[in-house]
Amino acid sequence: MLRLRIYRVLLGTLGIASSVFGLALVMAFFAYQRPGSEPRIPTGPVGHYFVAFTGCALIGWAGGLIGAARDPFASRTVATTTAFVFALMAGVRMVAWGVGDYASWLGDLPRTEAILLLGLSIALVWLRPTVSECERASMTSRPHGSQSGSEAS
Amino acid sequence: MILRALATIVLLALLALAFALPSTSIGRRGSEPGARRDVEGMLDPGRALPSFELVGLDGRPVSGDELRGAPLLLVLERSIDWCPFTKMRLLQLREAFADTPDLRIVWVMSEAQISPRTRIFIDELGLGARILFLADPKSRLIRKLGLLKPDPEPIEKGVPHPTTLLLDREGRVRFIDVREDYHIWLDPSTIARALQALESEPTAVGSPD
Repeated sequence: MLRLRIYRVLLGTLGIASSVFGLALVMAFFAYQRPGSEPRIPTGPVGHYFVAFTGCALIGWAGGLIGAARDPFASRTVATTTAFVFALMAGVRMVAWGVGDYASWLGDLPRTEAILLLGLSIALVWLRPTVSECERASMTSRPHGSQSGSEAS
Repeated sequence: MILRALATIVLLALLALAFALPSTSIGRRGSEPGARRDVEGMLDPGRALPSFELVGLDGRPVSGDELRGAPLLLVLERSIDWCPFTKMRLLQLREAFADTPDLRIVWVMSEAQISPRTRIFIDELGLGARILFLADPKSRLIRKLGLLKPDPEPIEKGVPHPTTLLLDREGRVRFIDVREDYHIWLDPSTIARALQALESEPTAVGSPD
């Protein structure tokens, strides 16, 4: 099924990208601790603490995305949550676009990112498996004779 | 299916907002080359400013006489705590005149607009190295020049209409820009041209474009 294949590729790509980005943020934290180091991210020690926190969270999120790419019927919540978070991130970027501190640094980039994130969000909403598809998949994967209850709607 | 449709409607609305942002009032911003004179105050080309005393961010008083002796760009602005347009303008100005050490830049804000966030913005971006930031106690100078914004929002306490003045070595006003619309500010290239004219004809008196 083409829709499912695209969904898996999308989740897999997002998962790999998140893990690479997360790893880079964690590495930036450790690199910052070296004596005399120049910060790769324009922020101080407190900022780097939160950068590392974000990096760890991204790696965890990446695990969920890659897991969902491998078995898309196991949990459609991953796609739902990711779509919601992308919309939230887009909102943050639209506010940042209007604030001089960020706009003078990033120009029109936050708005472009917001458009991209909302596009991905819509794609996730429409590509993720339906409830009935997940139920069908779970029934066929169960051992024979252990099927119970609900018929796919 | 209903939830999916609802989510799509919300996401499409956000997407439309992201596309429409540049045409909203938030998006209307930037610099323009021509000088404006939206508000008639006590400012006239060729006249010296009335005597005034401002306060540095370290609490040190600074009189108008102390600022003489070099071409002076005196900017009276809103707030670099909460006003995104003022922040953008300040950063643009610093960049434009980074290599003009002979020009003294003084950025004046109402004392009511100096907050810890103001100091953090200045310190983190190292703005104090190029620009002298001064506070106007009780907006006295702003009032004296007739630049106080009428009917301000509570957050705008004591703010002036954004004003740019270029003064010569003797403290006479040589260039004026006053505008009511803070979304669009004066392009630094216009100030650079006025400065060039001031340096080439030190006795001539300039006026807005």
